[in-house]
Amino acid sequence: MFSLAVATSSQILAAGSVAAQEVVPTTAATEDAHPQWQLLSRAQMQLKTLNFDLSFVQIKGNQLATYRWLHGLVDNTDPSQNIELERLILQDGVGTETIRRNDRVYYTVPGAPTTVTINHYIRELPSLFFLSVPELQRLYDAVQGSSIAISGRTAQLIRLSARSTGRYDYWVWLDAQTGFPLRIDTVAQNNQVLERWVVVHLQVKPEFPADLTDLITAPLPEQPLQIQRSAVAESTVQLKWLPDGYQAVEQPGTVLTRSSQLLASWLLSDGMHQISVFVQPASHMGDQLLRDGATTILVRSGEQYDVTVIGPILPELAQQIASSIE
Amino acid sequence: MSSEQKEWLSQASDNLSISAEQLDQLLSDPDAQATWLRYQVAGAAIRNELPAQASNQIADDFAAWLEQEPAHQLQAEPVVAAPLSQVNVQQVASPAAANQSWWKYLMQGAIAAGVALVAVVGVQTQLKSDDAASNPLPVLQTSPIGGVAAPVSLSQTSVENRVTPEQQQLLMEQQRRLQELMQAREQQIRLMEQAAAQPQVPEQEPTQN
Repeated sequence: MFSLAVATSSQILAAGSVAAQEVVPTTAATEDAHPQWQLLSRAQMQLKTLNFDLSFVQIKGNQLATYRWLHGLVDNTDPSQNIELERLILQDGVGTETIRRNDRVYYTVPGAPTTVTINHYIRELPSLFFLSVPELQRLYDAVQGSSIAISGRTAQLIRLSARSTGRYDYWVWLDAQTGFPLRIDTVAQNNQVLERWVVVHLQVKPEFPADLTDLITAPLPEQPLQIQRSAVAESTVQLKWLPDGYQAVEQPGTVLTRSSQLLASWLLSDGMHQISVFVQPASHMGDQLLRDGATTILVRSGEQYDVTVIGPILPELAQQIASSIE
Repeated sequence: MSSEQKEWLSQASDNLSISAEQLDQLLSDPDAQATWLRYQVAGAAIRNELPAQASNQIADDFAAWLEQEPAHQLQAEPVVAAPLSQVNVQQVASPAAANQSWWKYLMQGAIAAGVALVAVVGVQTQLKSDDAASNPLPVLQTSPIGGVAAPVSLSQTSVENRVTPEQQQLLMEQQRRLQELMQAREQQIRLMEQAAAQPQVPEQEPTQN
């Protein structure tokens, strides 16, 4: 199934163009002497400080989605007054976009109210570009690979190998000249590519992107909606085991579904990835194991209840989590 | 023009002496004059003695040609900004009302962008828990973030012809449940992000029913 997706991606690459107009030289800010981490740090810096207009495709299985990603920084003499603006626009479909102004993220879809959250990056973008290098080093080992041409540009491969089993690896290609990321593969243990993120167009602009100027002053909802903390019902089922590096996130409210009953739910986070665990009354529909790109979905159908584990983890780990529910 | 003639014209261009006869010919023959002029220009160009105006003229001519070239330019795509204004109206009107409608929308399942909606399951298999992990995973197809929920379409699955109505019912039920759980996962993550920067608020009874 994936061979088709790879063919599609290479076609896009052939059609795509990557043109860097201006490159602001930056020095890697890390103390770390390892060049692979310095390259990653440089890529992170470019994505935070440069004005750019970038398009990428995301390939999951035989599905492909195209996004446009705009970023601009309004410099101020007082750096604390800088305004960072970002816009992520789904190109297939109308009116769906995500906007970030400094630490506020706004999710808009036509016909529904905007959701506001607080984050210094848009979660739908590859999170490995927004976690600090020490945080990444806690989870991954980085090894510098060979250089290949991507979109006609020389790209340096950096392999991020998960330090614990259960996580997938990332192969990241960075533009040798500008340091910008060009491609990310999410790779399973057998080197099978589960998900691919490819830049098909990149324009680094000397000025603030015109498409973002409206947003500098646009009146956006200031505060995220107040969460109503409700008492989470005491549950009879317990999650007895957490995978290495993950912690259960305190849930401020009860998670609701339209019609299915939830006996219990947990969200586990390692700072980069999240695993959801749901317990529902037994449906006797049988076990299921599904995959959406690098996201594993495991449904374990039991006598008293069903357990569903969803997250970017190996199926074995999902099994282990599901088994630990008592 | 003979090569012999070229030779003396070339000499004339280089300010070498020519015979009176050749000078007469040069003065009377327009062809020879044109050739002599060409040699002079070429010589001047080589010695970098051409007046600046010559190149200006070429640039102007070229600009004029460019003007006349048919334009082949793509229209810049307008970035949709419409949802923002809707947002503002709602938010400014009443934060409490917005709050309520937010939960209402969650209840209705119309969650804002970021939702990976389960659209079509290619192949579903019933697995025993023991061998589930070792078997190759069927691929779940979801729409990308913010995508509009596509109706479950079993006609697209490859197993269509082999499933009984009861099995189809089961597949659709599984679909529905997974879709709801994917949305619940999205809620969890949004709640986590929102809660991260908020002060603890005392517990309160939900204001909406």
